[in-house]
Amino acid sequence: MRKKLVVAFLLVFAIFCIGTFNDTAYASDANKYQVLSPSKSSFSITDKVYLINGKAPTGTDVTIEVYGTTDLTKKNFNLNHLPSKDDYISLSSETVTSGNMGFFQKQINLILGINKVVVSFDAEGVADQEFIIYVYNKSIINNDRFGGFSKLKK
Amino acid sequence: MKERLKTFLLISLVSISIILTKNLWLQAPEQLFTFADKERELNSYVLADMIAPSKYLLNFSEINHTILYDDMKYGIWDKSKSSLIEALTAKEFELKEISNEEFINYHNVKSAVFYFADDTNSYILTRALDIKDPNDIVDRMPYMDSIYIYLGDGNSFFIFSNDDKHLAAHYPKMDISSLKEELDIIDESQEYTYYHSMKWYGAKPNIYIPLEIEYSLPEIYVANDLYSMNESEKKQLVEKFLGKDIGYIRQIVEGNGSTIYVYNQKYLKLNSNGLIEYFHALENRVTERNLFLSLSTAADFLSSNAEILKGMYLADVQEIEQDGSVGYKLSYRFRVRGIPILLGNREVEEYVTIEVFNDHIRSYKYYPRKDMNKLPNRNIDKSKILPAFDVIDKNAGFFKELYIDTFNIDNMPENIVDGVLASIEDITLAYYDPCLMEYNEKLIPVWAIRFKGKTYAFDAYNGILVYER
Repeated sequence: MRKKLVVAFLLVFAIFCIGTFNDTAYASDANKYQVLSPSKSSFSITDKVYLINGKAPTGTDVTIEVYGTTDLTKKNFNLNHLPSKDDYISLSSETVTSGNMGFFQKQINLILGINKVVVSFDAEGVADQEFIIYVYNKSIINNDRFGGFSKLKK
Repeated sequence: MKERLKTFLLISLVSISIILTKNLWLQAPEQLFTFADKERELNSYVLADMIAPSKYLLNFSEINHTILYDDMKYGIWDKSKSSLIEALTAKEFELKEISNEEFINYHNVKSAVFYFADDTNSYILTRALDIKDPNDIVDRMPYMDSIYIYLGDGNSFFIFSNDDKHLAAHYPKMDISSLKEELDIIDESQEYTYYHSMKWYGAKPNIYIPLEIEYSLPEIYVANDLYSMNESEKKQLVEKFLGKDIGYIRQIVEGNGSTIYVYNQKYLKLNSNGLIEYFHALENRVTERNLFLSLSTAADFLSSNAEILKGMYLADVQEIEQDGSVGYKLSYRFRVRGIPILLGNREVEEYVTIEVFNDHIRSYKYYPRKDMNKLPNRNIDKSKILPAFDVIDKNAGFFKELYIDTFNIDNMPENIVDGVLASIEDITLAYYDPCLMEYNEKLIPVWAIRFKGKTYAFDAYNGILVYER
């Protein structure tokens, strides 16, 4: 009985180790595919031009798709009230290739309102990355977090 | 009725004649002054011309920035001058020393940064701005490499910087509303090239590069002035430098075609390679340096002797010592249509170098290259210039080797790309003058990348390395 228990424990331990090893290998592979900008998955800005950049092994094709929503729906989308999949319209889709330094980059154009950016790597096991960018009109909201001289730290 | 019409016509004619006479008498003198100013612009070179920003960074938000090399269109530097003068003369002002991190963060909000070609002596900057009695800021920050102006919400301020040292200054009633409006106009027009911070590549965050460039730089051809001079023009040049009629001047012709002209202790050499050299031995020992006096002497000398003054800027100031006398060696470079030119002639140090000992010019070397102002060729290839990062990427192997050589590393480290990008100190658009032709020399648009103190220039159209110094 004791022998059976030891064998069963070793088996479970071996399976656990294999699983962990595979996870580690996947994680180190996945680390090679990164989106550096944007660094947050959802955020708001006033700019209609944005930089998408990241790291991927040299020669990797990276597809950057940009979706927007039109105001015609009058649903007043924002970061707390996101559109459904059907509400999005495709704005652009472009494939760039990671260069010799292991970087890829693309300057994208956004529209006012909610924009969705999907970055897909042409590599097995690497998940697509999705970003929600809410572009608002700078005249509507004054969101200057910096402040003037008095806000400077001593 | 007819009489009334006649009266009306007469009144109208008299009114028109008064308006025209007013225009003639009140506007003509103003135009004459404008003409006089233009004359001054062409014929004199003053301290303010020497010390002007080399490039301008405009920050609209965390994401959007642009760089201008020529401020002619918007005049941001000129519009900032009065506030800058106030800041450097105000008796009541607040100062805060801020960290490099905080300084970089303030690039993410509406602001403008003026970069200078070399660490500019703050005292000389105040003299260039015609400030007689500067305040303590000059002592606290004796050299500056950039001046930042905050144009966001709240009270505005300047940040005077030298490397990683930053001093924020605010004075009461600081008003830069016109500058704020100008920046808003530029932002709304969106007629600028978007520049992005290199922080997204792990490089220094205050380096900005464009990713998409929708233009090509104008084709510029230059010629060496000395080659195109006839004998009479050369004679005039010699007489101007040596201050004597050519009949009194001794002339020595060298085997290589160069000619030396001598009068008393003054020498002028017209070299066969196109270089003009002037030498006047020191007559008295100079025991104390005076930078302001030296720069003013150099400016006066350039105004009376140099043929080309437009686009010339002070690039470097070095302290020198000669036979017990102390002075300065000043190096000047040129900008053509706002873009700096890199000199490719290895026999020549810089376009202009002057050794000045307070009120005495000891030597002057000038390599005259003039913009031929050719009309743009309409049949040229309209290809766009490569973005700076594409040039770095194309030369990834070169930069990796350079990194290994610079840091004396035996094996290629795994994180070499991070090391390469962190070693980049500046990226600037420039023209490269290969100095291979006397006439019709086409300047090559380049991306000049400063890597650990050395500059490497890559052809902006094909990414090929053309210059290193």
